[in-house]
Amino acid sequence: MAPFMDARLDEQTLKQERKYLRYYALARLRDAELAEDAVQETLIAAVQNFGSYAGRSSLRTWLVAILRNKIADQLRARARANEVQIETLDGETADEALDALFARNGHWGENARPQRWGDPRAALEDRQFWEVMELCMQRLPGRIAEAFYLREVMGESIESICNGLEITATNCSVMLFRARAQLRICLEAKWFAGTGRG
Amino acid sequence: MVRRDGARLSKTHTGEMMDDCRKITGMISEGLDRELTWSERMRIRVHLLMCSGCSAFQKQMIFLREAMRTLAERIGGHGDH
Repeated sequence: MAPFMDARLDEQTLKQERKYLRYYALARLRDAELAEDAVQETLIAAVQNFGSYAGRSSLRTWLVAILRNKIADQLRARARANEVQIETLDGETADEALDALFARNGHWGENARPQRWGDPRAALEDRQFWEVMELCMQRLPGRIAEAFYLREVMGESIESICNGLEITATNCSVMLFRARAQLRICLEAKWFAGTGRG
Repeated sequence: MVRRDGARLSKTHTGEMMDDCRKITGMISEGLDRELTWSERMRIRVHLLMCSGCSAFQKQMIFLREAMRTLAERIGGHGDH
């Protein structure tokens, strides 16, 4: 089969990229089954269309572009099924969510003030902590999760995230701020709070 | 009140001028994505001296970055970065 003539798309590569793509899809779709479907379709499309991959971008960038289309399909289908607009799936703006954290004067709202976590690094060794992290990441609204994922896990620059998601740099910063603030709250509530951990 | 550099300051109940927490934590978050200016860094530093909430926030953001790096290594992210 022609696509496999190229060493870069051998089984080993596919396996490796699959793991990565799955996390991406999970962040965006927040549904393990749908994420799995989107990744499968992506890999099939990649194998079938590998001839058209010109090698201008990295293989991963190319795969992510395919995956994003598959995810968009899924979201459209889901929106149709629920008879809601795609936009409302991701609902409230980042700004509005941040309003809930701070008082009118911009200082921490009641119960929103961050607590000390002690030495949180110990958590990185704990398998259960990663389950909590995954849960918390899945609770982020889709587009915000995607921006956060691109930035923190893929290590992309703000510029490339803005271009990819077609948003302004300011909007991108606010979305990342929101993602971080929300993750912080979730981790504090579900892991670090008062359990004597960390 | 608006400072010469355009930054808005709010008055705390004790009366001293202080950047608000929303602005400071937003800046701390931005610091993870771009290099902050000297003036921004100073504003954060001054604010952290008197705000335990934002100090905790900053430490947690550093931890979050480290946690995400760890996650990226586990799943083979961070390609050539």
